[in-house]
Amino acid sequence: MQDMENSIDRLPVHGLLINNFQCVLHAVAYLPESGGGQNICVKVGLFINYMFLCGRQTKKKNNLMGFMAKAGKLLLPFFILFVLTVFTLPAQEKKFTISGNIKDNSNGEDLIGAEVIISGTRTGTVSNAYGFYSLSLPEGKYTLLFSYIGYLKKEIPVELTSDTKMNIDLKMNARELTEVVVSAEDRNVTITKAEMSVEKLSAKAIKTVPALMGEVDVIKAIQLLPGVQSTSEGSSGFSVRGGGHDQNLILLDEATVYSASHLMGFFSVFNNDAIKDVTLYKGDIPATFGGRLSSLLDIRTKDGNNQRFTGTGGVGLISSRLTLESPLGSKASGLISGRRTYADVFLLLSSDENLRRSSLYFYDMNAKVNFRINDANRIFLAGYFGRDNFSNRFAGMNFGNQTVTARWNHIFSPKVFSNFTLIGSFYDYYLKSNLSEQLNQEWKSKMNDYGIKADFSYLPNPTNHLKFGYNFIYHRFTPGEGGGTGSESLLARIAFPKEYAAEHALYLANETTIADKLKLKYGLRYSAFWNISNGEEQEYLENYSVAYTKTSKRGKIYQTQQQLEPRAGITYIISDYHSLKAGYSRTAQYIQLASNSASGSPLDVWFQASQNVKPQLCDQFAIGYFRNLADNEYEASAELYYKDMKNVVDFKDHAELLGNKDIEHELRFGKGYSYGLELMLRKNGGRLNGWVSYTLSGSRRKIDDINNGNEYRSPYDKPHNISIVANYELSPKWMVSANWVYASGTPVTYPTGRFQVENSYVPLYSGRNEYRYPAYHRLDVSATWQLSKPGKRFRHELNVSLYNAYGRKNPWTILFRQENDRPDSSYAEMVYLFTFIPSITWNFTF
Amino acid sequence: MNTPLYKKIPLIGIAFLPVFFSCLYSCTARIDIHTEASAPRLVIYGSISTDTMQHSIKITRSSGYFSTSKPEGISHAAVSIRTDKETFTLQESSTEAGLYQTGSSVFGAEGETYRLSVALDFDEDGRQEAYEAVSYMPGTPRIDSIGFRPSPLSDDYLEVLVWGHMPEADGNYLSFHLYRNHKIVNDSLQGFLMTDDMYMDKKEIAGVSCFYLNQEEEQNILREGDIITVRIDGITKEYAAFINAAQRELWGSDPVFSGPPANVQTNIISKSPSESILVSGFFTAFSGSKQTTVYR
Repeated sequence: MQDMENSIDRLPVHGLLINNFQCVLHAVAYLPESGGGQNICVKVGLFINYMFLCGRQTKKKNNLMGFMAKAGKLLLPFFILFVLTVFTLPAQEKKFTISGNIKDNSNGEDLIGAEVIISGTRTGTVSNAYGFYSLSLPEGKYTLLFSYIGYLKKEIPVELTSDTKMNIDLKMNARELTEVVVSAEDRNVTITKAEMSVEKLSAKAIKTVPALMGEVDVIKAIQLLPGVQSTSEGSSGFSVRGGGHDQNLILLDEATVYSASHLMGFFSVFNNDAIKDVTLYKGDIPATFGGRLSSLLDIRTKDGNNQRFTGTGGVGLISSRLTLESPLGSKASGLISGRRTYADVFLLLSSDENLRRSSLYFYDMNAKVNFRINDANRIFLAGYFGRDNFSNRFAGMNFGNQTVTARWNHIFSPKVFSNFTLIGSFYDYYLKSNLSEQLNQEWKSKMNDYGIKADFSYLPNPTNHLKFGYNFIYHRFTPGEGGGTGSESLLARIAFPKEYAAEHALYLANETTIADKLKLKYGLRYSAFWNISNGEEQEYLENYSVAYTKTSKRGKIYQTQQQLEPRAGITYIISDYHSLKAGYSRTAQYIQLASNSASGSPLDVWFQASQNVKPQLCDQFAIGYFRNLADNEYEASAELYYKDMKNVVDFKDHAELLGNKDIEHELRFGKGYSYGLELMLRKNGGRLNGWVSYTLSGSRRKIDDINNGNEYRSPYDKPHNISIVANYELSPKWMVSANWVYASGTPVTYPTGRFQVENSYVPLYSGRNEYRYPAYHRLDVSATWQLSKPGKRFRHELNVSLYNAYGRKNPWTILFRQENDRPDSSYAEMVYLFTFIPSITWNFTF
Repeated sequence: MNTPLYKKIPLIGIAFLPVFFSCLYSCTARIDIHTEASAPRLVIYGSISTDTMQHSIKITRSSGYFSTSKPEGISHAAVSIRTDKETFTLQESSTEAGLYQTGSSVFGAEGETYRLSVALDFDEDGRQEAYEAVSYMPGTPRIDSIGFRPSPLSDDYLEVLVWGHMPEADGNYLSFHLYRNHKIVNDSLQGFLMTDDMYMDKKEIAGVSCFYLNQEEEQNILREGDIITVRIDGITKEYAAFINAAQRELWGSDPVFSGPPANVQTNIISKSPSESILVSGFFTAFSGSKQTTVYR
């Protein structure tokens, strides 16, 4: 052991991480073996011992050893819990495992979250994100019940005498072909599942929500859920439980989407036709994920129909879209989906030359191929490519995301499922001006992420589900480069130094059934962030001014920050119809958006935690009561949460963020908290379905130098938030939908005084966010007319919608102006974006 | 009327904003807003330049935002501007309360540091409060000539071009003013044009378009014989930041591109720290250069 103590002293940080990773790999190696548990205990225990020993080496709390000492203290109870729940089961009879994939029989799509239970009990499991399930049971006869909302249940008797492979195809309930099912989970899963603060929406439900300009939008639908609010009128930005719009991790097939909006935020980048599953974690973020403080929006695209060639599409007022799916041989299938707006096509018809020379459009494309090599190996390749382009003869801009993922599912054994992912995520913007030969200029910025993930899922017995793995992301940011164009330009060419960083995370989590009615979920995520030198001078700030500088060799890790992020949850199932849940999670965020506006713009760049910027931290506590009524027809829930945030980032007054290479000089730090009560009543099916939600909440910040150091309302502090979403099937041919939203006004800083400068009145302001805009409310309605007869392969429908049906003028912003004829008088002017916006869309499938 | 010349790279983002906002800002409506008037502040605003003239400092009291009257001037203040070598005492104007002026033969010198001192009893408690601000006189730009051309960007606009030279030192901030027949055209805060040379490759100003005059608007139409003057001032970085922040606050904020509104910072410092009087405004020194031509 003395050798170990000595050797760990010599280990650099990355050496330690490699050691951690080796630990995980050793664990994987042992898992499939019978009795491997003891070996794992030895390994994990050894690692914790390492940490304690390291901690004893030094009393300094701020260095690596200090961190290890603290980590050791946290790990010990985690380790004890782990051992108690996983490896101290009483001596058991020999077990066999039944495993396989659960799919939709019509198109071969994997069903995520399908339930598998032993009939008449609560013992069971659910399928993972790839439709895989695994259940280990003692030898014997069982009846397994496979179910998924909107699908016919399947009961299969099984005599388990050996490990068994059983793939299941579920058939969609004939009525569900037309009926909207709001939830994406089985009927009482919200009661029994050991998770809370999670919202799932079916693609079909998203489609029925009346949409701005007829563009069906995942994020706009998400904004109607309790605890979620739009950052501004019409925006695709969203705030979850009082968090910032950059505190949401948005994943598309596991790749981070850094800017999820088109057209200045009015539309999201997600094409609903390509989407299979949408899950929003508002607080109970699994240990598998991290990197953002407030939420995880996990979006999975369809795999592509492996039964027959199909198509889905639509023609709307501003865009058209088409999605094609097809089998690719006997073992593969694929999907390609595209969407493009055509406002620029109409501009060509204009008699105004300036307009004819303008362009205004966005497009996006999703493509995916999956290849089933054999029962134990499967490969997925997916990509997203989207871009916005606006230009006229004076100026232009374009921006877009690209993501690519390559995944390999490998089943090590019936109990061990693994997924290995290679990820690329890219975002860039480009600006240009065309004013004169001397002043023409361009400017561009981009960020590239390259990631690797190794995720393992181990189901040793029906009462435990372990997940563990390792994530790595390499960030390469180009904050900005450009300058004058052409030989006559007065402007120099400049390039801000590129920034490099790497994020690592190791995690281990378990979901365990302690008793028939008691479920426990716990996990630990260790995250580390490295700043990698670009060879330039690094500034070290004190009191927001440069205290000294250092230069590190290019490629050297000059700063490491790390966190332990525990996650825990407990579920007490009172009966099949109601349960109590509680949860705690700590999340850390190492990169953030340089945006001090409420909803952000495509020109915002991300910046990293560094020697001057500590990672933002959030501790969230939540309790909830979940109740299903009328044989699970209705779901009701009440959740209370409290979030305590540290190292919260804000920007000094009049901060310059665009094109500023010294963004860290503009930052200010502090703390924040938010709290709330979320009530939800949802009717999942039937002719009338939908939900009503109410959120009572508050969100505050206290940041150095802002509001004189006094606490102030965050921009997302809206005490009352109500959403009502309803769909009603008038007849098999007609469906009507409506949603009504109400939210307290956005906090705002109003002028309370003025003084004169250069013949103009300059405002003097109230305290930060001391006032509020008028309350926001809006009604949207839509009607869908089925044009085709039932049973036809080609089906089509017409959707007519009216956004803001009663023409409420909701202020987007309020400006203060001087009267032209009486310059000593001022007035307030509201800018509103939309009154009535009618739209019509023709949709089809074949 | 006129559009900004160029400031620095970040402004390129602004170039496309008119396209965006022209779509959005068409939907506006007046709205009644009631705010509680904040406690009055002391406002001190003024400058000294390289021109030989009466230099002014205006001392006023701030008012409620929706007040309809002119700012109230504050009389009986002791105001002076001094360097290490000389002191200029400012006298209150006999015609305008709160306006303090130097003699008419006063001028500032490039590279000099100027210190404004003000003593007054703002809160009328019988005790004088003291305030101070410091500014250096930056380098002077040079204008060789000015010219005109129809704008290639739009047939409706006439461009005013400038040839000249930036100050040799780096870190220059410039402001631009246009006069027609000796009357200033851009006399408001919105019309105050500024730039810096942070991203400029050359010190030479070779026919740069400074002003764009819309010839469809009566007040901007240039006629033969009009006397056109362009003035370029070298201003301090701090004053540029002050004007920039004040312009932003005047324009207002929106949820996409703007940060939250905030009070514009001042360089006026209270020398009586125990006093709770809040101060706004700015004192600056600037060096000017101008060139005049007749429009033909």
